[in-house]
Amino acid sequence: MRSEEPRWRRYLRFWGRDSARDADDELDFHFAAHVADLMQRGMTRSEAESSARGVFGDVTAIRAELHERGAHRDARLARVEHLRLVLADLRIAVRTLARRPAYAAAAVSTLALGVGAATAVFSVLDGVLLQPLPYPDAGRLVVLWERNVPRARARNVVSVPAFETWREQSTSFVALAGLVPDRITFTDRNPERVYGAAVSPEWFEVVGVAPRLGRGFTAADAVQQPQPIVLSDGLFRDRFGGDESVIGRTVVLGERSVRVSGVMPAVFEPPSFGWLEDGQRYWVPFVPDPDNRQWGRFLLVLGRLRAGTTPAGADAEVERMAAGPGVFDERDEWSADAVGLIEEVTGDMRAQGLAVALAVALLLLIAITNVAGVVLVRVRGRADELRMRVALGASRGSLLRQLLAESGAIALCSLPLAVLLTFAGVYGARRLLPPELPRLDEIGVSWPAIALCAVVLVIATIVIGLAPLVMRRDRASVAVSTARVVRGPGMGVLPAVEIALALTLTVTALLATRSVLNARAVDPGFDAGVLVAARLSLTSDDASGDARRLAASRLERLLAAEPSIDAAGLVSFRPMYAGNPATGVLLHGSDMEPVVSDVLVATAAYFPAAGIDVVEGRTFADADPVQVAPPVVINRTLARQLGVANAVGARITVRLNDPFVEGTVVGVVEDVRLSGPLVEPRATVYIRHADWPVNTVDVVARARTSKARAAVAIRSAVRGLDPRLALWDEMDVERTLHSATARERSLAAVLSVFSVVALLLAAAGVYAGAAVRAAARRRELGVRLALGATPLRLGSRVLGETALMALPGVLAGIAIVLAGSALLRRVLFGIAPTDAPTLAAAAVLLIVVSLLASLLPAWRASRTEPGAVLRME
Amino acid sequence: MPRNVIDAVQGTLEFLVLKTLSWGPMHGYAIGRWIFEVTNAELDVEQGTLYPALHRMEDRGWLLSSWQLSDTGRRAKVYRLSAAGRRELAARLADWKRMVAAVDRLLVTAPERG
Repeated sequence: MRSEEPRWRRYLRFWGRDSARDADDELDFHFAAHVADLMQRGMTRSEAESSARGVFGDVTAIRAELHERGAHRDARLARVEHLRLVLADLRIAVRTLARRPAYAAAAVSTLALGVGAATAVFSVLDGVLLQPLPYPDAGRLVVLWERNVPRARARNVVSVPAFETWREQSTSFVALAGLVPDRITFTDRNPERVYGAAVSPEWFEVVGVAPRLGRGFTAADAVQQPQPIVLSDGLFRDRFGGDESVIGRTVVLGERSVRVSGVMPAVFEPPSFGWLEDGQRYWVPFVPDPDNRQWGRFLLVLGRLRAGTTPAGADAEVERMAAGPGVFDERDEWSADAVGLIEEVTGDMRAQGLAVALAVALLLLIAITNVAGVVLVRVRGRADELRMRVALGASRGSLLRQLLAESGAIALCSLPLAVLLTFAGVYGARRLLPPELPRLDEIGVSWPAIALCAVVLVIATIVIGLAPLVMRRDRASVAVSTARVVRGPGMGVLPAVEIALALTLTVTALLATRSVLNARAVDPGFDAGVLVAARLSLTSDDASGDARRLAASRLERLLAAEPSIDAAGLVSFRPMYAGNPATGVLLHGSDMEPVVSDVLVATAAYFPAAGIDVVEGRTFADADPVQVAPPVVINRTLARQLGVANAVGARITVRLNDPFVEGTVVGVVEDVRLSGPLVEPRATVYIRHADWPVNTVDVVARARTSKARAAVAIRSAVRGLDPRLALWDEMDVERTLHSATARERSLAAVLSVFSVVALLLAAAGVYAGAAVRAAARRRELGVRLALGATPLRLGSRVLGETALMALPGVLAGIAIVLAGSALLRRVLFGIAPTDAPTLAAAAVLLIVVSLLASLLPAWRASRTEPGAVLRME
Repeated sequence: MPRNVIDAVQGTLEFLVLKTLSWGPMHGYAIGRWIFEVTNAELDVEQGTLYPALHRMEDRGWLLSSWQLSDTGRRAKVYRLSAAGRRELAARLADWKRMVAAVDRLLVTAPERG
C-alpha cells in the first residue's frame, strides 16, 4: 500500500497535514488488528481477512466519507491558521506603524487622499454620466437629428416629412414622437409664461410613463377640438389646486381652451434636450398637417428602440434611409443621425468627465507611488532585521506576508479616512459644482465607485507591499533581494514617476485655467456687464402687425423715460437665449450658395442699448418708412461670407418664410457670440421690427447704476404698457454669459486642486528619495569632505543628482501629456495641448519644486562630519 | 446478521463511544471490541459506522487524537476524551437516566382493572 502512494502526497505530508493518508492508515490498522485477533482465535489468515471485511461494511464508501470529511477539516484548519498568521502579522504591522506616528500619518493620509478623491470623482461621474435616465428601459431612448452634410452641421432639427417617413418606414423603433416647444401665457391675476410641448400621441409610449390620472391622448383625440392637454403634476396643483374633477373637463388656459385629459406623476421629469431644456409643464398634441409640412425643419424627434436594436443600429438605418429616396429632396445635402438620449443629455460633458477621471487616476497613482516610496525607505531601514529573519529561517511566504501586512495595515487605517473624504468630496461636488451641470442632484456615493476603489486599494496594498522586492535586480531569493534593496535603483525611479505624473496634472490644470481665461477674454460683441433682459409678448398673439408696432414703440418710449435705464431696445432673441431661427441668406439675384445665418428682429434702439458696435454704414432708423426693400443690418461674418466688397447698399435675400425678405443692407455691425464665449459667432442678419413685427420679444436694457433697479424699471414700463402683460426669463445677461463656461471653470478648478495636491505629494516623494540617498552615502560624503571637498560642493552635488533624476520624470510627463492631447483638445478652448510655454512653465515648476524638496537633505549632506562618519566603521 | 439493538436508538453510538473512552485512550478497533465485550455481544457496533462517527466527534471537539506506533510497527490513531467530550458524556448520561426512569415508570404502570 505504501508503495502505491503517489510521490506528491509524500511531498504534501512534508509540508503539512494529509488527512487522506491518515484515514487510510487508521483503517489499515483496524483490519490488521481485527485479523490478528481472529487468527489468535484459530482462523486462518484468509478466513480472518474475509470475516473482518464482512463485518466492516462497505469499505470503499466509508473510506470515501472519511476522506471527504478530512479534506473539509484540513481546509478549515488551513484557513484558520492562515487567518491567525495574517492577524498576527497585521498586529505587528500596526504596532510598528504606531511606533512611527509621523511616518504612519503621512502614509495613511496620502493613501486616503488618493483613494478618497478617486472614489468621490468616480461617484460623481457615475451619477452624472453613467446612471440610466429615469425612464423604463431608458437605454432604448434615442434622439433623431438631421445633419447638414456640406456645412457639417450635426444635430439639426427635423422636418415633418422626414419625421413621418421615419415613423412609417423605419424598423428600428417601437414608437417615434415629434416634439415642438409650446407655451401658454397666463394673463390673469397671476401672469406667467408656462412652457410645455406639443407632442405626437406616441410620446407617452416613447418615454414609457403613463399619466397618473386620466390618460394621454390618441391619434383620434389629437384632432378633436378643444385640444386635449396632459398636465404635469406641478401645473395641475398650481392652476387647479389638485382638483381631480377637472379631468375630462374643458377649461381655458391662457388664450386657449383645452380639455384636460390627464396628469403625469409628480416624479416624472420629461427628457430635456435640444431646445426643450426649460422643462415642460404640459403636453398638447402635435399633428402633422399640410401647413407644418411646409415649415421646414423645426421638430425634435425622440424614439424608443425595439428590443435588441442598438442606437448604433438605428443610426445606421436612418442614415441609410436618408441616402435613399423619400426622406430628403436634397439627398446629397442632408443625412440623419440617431443618438442615445443619455449621450444627448450629457453630450460634451463626456470628454470633460473622462479628463477628470484620468486626472484623479493620476493623482491616485502618485499617492500610491508616494506611499510605496515611504514604505520602501522603511523596509530599507530594516534591511538588517529582514536579513536576520531570513538567516534564522523565515520562509519566503512569511516575509511576503509581513511586507503585505505592513502595507495592508496602512490601507486598513486609511480606509475610514478615505470613506470620510469620499462623502465630503461628493457633498462638496453637489454644493460647489455649478447647477448648470446636468443631473447634479442625482449624484451620491455610488456602489460601483466604492467597489472600484476597493479593488484599487487591494492592488495598492500589493504594489506598496511588494515594491521593496520589485526593486531588486536579482530574483534568486528574497534573502538576496532584501540585501539588494538597500542599493537598488528604486529610490530614483519612484520620485521620477511622481514627477512625471505631477507634471501631467500640472500641465492639464494650467491648460484648463488658460482655457477659462481665454473664454473670459473673448469679447462677446456686446456689453454683457450692464445688461438686463426680460421676455414678453407685446400684445395678444392674434393682434395685427400695426398693433405690435405700436406697442413696441410705446414700450420703448416708456423705457426711455425710466431714470435707472440708460438705453433699451427690443430684439426677438437676446444674446445667450439660443432660440432664434436660422436660414439661408444670399445676394439678391445671385446663384451663390446661401449663407446660413441667424435671423434676429430688432428695433433701432437695440444696437446702442446692447453695445453692439457699428462697423460700416448705420443701423436702422425707425423713421425709415416701411418699404418693399426694407433696411437690414448684417454682422461682420455675414458680410465676409457674402463675399461682396462693399456690403452697405447690397440687396440681399433672406429665405425666411414665404415670401422671402428682400432687404437692403444699411450697415454692418460687430459679430455677437449668441451662444456664449466658447462658440464662434455665426453669420447674422437683423431685420427691423417694424418690417417683421414679431409679438414675442426681449427687452434689453442698459442699467444706469444697478441692474436690480433696471430690472424693476423694465417691469414698471411693461406695466405702463399693459398691466396684464407677463414678463418672463428676467435675466442678468452677464450671469448667463458666465454660466456658459460653468463646466470649463469647474474642470479648471478641479484640475487645479488635483495638481496642487500632486505637486505636494511629488515634493514629499522627492524629499524622501533625496534624504535616503544622502543618508545611504554618508560615508562616501564623509570621505569626500575629508579629502577636501567643500560643503557647498557636496550640497550642490546632491541637488544636481535630484535635477538629474527629475529630468527623465519631466520628459516622461510631457510624453504623457502629448499622448493625451487628443482628449485634451476636446476640453480646451483657444489653446493647444502642446502649448510650448505651458509645457515649459510646468517643467520648470516641477524642477524647482524638486530642487526645493531636496534642499534640506542637501544641506544635511553638506554638514556631514567626516570624523563621526569614519568612526562609525 | 442479527438485528442490532444499536440501530434502534439514534445517537447511541456516540454515547457509547464517549462512555468507552471515559475509561482511557483507545484506538478505533479497541473501542469496537470494548463495546462488544462489555455488553456481552449484545451491542455489536457495525464497525464501518464507527470511524465516521469518531471523525465527526473529533470535528465537534469531543475527542482528541494522537498517533502512536503499535507493537506491530503500524501507525495507530488513538482517541481520548476532551474536556468538552467529558461534559457531553455527563449531559448524555443524565438524559439517559431520566429517559430510562421515565420509560420504566411507564412500563410498570399496570392498567386498572375495572
